[in-house]
Amino acid sequence: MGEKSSTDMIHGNLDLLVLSALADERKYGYLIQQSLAAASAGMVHVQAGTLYPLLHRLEAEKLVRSSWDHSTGRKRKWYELTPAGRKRLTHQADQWQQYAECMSRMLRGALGSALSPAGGTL
Amino acid sequence: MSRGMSPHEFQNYLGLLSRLLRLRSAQREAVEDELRAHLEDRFAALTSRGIEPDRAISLALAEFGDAAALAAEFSAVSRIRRRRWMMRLSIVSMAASVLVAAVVASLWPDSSGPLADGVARAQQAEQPAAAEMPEMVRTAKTDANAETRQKLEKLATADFIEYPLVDVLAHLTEVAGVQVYVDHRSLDEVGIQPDVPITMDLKDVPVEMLLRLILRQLDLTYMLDHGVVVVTTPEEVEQSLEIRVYRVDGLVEASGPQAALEAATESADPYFGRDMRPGHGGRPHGLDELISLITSTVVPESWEDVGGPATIKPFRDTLVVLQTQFGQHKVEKLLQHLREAVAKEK
Repeated sequence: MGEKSSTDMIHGNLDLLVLSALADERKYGYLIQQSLAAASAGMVHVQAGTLYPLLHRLEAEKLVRSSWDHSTGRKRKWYELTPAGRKRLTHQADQWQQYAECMSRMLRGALGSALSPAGGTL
Repeated sequence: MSRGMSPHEFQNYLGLLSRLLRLRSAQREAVEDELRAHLEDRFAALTSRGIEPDRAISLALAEFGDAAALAAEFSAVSRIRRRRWMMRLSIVSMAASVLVAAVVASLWPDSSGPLADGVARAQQAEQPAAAEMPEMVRTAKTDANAETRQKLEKLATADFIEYPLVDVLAHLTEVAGVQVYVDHRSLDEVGIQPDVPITMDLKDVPVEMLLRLILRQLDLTYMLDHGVVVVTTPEEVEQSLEIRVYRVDGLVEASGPQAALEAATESADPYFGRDMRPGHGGRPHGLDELISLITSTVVPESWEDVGGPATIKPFRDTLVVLQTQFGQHKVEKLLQHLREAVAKEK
């Protein structure tokens, strides 16, 4: 399992990651991209061509809402979570937490006996 | 404006993208503005790291990829939006039309009843036969649909566990005594098999409601065509907007001498409708209010002034409405409720 694969797994859950980037405060597209890169220590770089259609889709699904303002000295479109988006984020983050803990518990054994063909602790 | 600060390569890319977007002009501009801000931010970040401007421009643009592919992605999102719009139709406008009837009825001066009375009357108004609907300029097709719509009000009980869709539809339409046609081609396009299992457990509710709820589980819907229930996709229904003409006389004519005077002036000239008469002031009294009432209560998000596909235009004593079948049905109901409320006043 190389780095590419784990990146792929992460990119399969971009909706959730983008929602999580908006958990604390509203952000515009570029900030979302940067904060995902920072939070994942550079593992997640969402291409702009992927990010914006995704944001528009989340907005169409009423999980985020947007507004324009010039507060940074430039006209920008800011995104924030809707109550439905926050609910989705909480729910999915919770499911992921359980999934990750379960996988990690189960795989710890497998990793320990990775060299044995039977591979099990049964 | 930040526009002037953009390298012209950004402008070229955004201009191309914008031409490829199948969106309204305001939406296209919004996409352009949003992406321009990103390109400029990225460009500034890259050049501040010492990257040559030319290289920074191509790096920033490369992250957006091919303009045609990106445009297709944005257009796909707008299809989702339209799809959701269709899904919301059933809930929003049904509630709105009953509410409007209730409010109108309770506002009428000699209405003995408060809200409950209005609601009761609104429910009564669901029943009239095709021949009793004076609102719409009728055709054989609309008569057949009105008859089917009435049959679909029949109560039924659904007790299905993992029943194939086609069998469920056959059962419900048999109970109601109407014909059903499943649009297999459209279902196939969205990957739904006609025998997809359905589970539903509801007692004594209108067949129409069961049909709607069952189809909603599958992101499907139905429309009526010459009295036949056609089960299909929301996209298909949305594409089949239809034109109907509604009589609004009696709802828009002003009372009092001024209106009589206007009416008399008009009858002197058979060649012009009211709208076209110079000096008339545009429209029959109350028509604008009626249009605004309709567009704000019947599927409010569907009308062209808020970016939807539906239109409503006055023509002499009628309103010409381009709407989905569902929307048309709601317009018809609303006018009917209003007429009843007016009649009660008299």
